[in-house]
This record gives sequence, C-alpha cells and structure tokens, in this order.
Amino acid sequence: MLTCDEATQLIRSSHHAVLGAVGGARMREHLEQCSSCRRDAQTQRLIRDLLVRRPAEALPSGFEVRLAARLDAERGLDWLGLINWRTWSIRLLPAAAIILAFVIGFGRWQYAEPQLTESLSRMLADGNVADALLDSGADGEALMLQELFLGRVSQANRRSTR
Amino acid sequence: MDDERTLAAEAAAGSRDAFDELVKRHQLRIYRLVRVLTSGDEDAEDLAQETFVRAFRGIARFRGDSAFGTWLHRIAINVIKSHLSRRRRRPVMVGPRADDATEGVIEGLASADDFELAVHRRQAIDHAFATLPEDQRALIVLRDVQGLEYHEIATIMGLPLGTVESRIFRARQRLRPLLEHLWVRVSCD
Repeated sequence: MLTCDEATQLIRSSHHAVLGAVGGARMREHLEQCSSCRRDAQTQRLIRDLLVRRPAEALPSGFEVRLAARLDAERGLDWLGLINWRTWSIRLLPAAAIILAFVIGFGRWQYAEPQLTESLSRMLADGNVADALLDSGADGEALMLQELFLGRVSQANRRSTR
Repeated sequence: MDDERTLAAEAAAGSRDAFDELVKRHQLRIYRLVRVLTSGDEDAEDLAQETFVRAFRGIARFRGDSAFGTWLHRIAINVIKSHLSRRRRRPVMVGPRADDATEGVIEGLASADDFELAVHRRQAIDHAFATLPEDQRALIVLRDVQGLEYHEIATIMGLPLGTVESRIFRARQRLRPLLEHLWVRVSCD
C-alpha cells in the first residue's frame, strides 16, 4: 500500500499526470484507508472545480478600440525607426548599390568620349575636313563639329572648309 | 494551436493582421489575469494594454520556442510584477473593489439574480486570492483560472515543475476554508 508521502506526491501531480491502472488502484486503496489524504485529494478537486468556474469578466466597454489606438500609435512611432541611421543605411545599402551602378553606367553612356570611325579619323588627320564632313552623316557631323570646336583640327584644315 | 503558431510566425515577420488576430484571441484572458492578480486594480485595463504593447515591440524576437500564449503570459506577469512593486511603494491602500460600476460586466448571464450571484462568487474568490502569498497566487491563477498546463506555468514563472506543483497544492489547501461554502452552493446549482 502507498504511504501518505507517496499518496501526497501523487495528489500533487495527479492533475496533470495520468495514473496508470496499477497506480490508480493503489491510490484508491490508500484513500479508502486514510481520511487525511482523502481530504487532501478532495480539497484539490473542490478548489480546482470552483476556480475553473469562477465567473469571468467581459472586457470593459471600449477596451478593443482603446487598445487598437494604442497599437496604432506604436506603429506610427515605428516610423521613427527610419531616421535611425543604422537601420536606414543597412536597409538601403543594396538599393544604393544598384542605383550607383545605374548612375555610373548611364553616365558613361551619356558622356562617352565621342568615337570617330577609323576612316573619318584618317581624313581629319590628312586635313580633309570637307570630305570627312560629307562622309560622316548626321551623327558624324555632330562629332566632327565637336572635334573642330575642341580645336583638334588644325587651323589650316578649318580654312580649307570655308 | 498550429493555426496560432502560423499566426505568430507571420506576426513576427511583420504581418499587422496576424498580430491583430492574436490580440483579439488573447485580450480577454490577459485582461482577466491582470484583474485577478492586481485585485481589480483600476489600472488593470492599462496594464493589460501595456502587455500587448510590449508584445508588439518584441514580436520580431518571438522565435516560437513556446506557444504564443505562454510568451504573452510571461510578458503579462512581468508587467503585473512591476506594477505591484510600484504599488507597494505607494502609501495607498488598494484592495478588491466592491462597487458594481468598476466590477466589469460578466458575460452570459440570464438574469439580475444570476448577475448578483456571479458577482458575489467572483468577489469571494478574488478576496480569497488576495490572502495568498504572491508566489502562490500567480501560480494558482495561471493554473485554475487561466487553464495553463503545469509545464507552461513553470516556463512562464521560471520555476522547476516540482515547485509549481507544491505551491499550487499548498494554495488550494489555504483556500479551502475560505471557499468551501461556495462549493456547497455551486453543487446545488
């Protein structure tokens, strides 16, 4: 038969552990014999049943609305995290890298050194500005004019185009 | 539970709707816990809301090691402990409130008599809770009012399982003489 200490230990834990068939039988046997342990077991059961049936409160009127407002305020404050420079820089680093790469690439395309064709370059070098202009086409003309403007063509060649 | 685990993961990932749904599911339980453990303190609503505000601030750190409800209860217990600590330092007597205006509406009652009976029963239980040492009170409320499992309570309170079991055992022993008259009445209902 169980001792009172063993029975008390089981009573303490029996509400969350299932006694096996043997354990249950031994407990019943002890409780039949021991009024003190029987009272303890009854107390545990009685108080638990009472408390489980404690009439529950409802939420106070307006609780949900006030809580939602408070959480919205927190979410609003969360935007202040954006001015946290660490958060800001870490979050935007990938985007910044992409933008930078784009700007560099676009800039190179926009401000690319005008590239004359080999034949036009040769004509200019030989002083045949007029022929070079005729051969260059509309785009080439613009480049040619730029070359002239930049003074890359000799004074003698410019005179020859007039 | 799996559904709640999914919601908690989504909330941790930043989903506002998921967090709001979790709030909706737990707000009554948390409010009830705060009310009981602060003996119906007028700050109960504020403390319950504070629990959810702290949960919102910390949700990104929630890893799902425990159930969301367990995590939330831990936050609530910390909020309550801080409040009770501040209250002890204030030279003001605070105890269970008796007037209906601040009692909080009890749900699902058919008549005024039922309401009166329910209020009386709840007041008796809450007065009895107030006589318990703080460590026993929190544990028995978490177990018998909130319905949490022993291992969850052990996690929330940071106590060994055996300690939880023995304190709840002793708390119920202490409550018997204060509450057994209610049991007779309840058993006749």
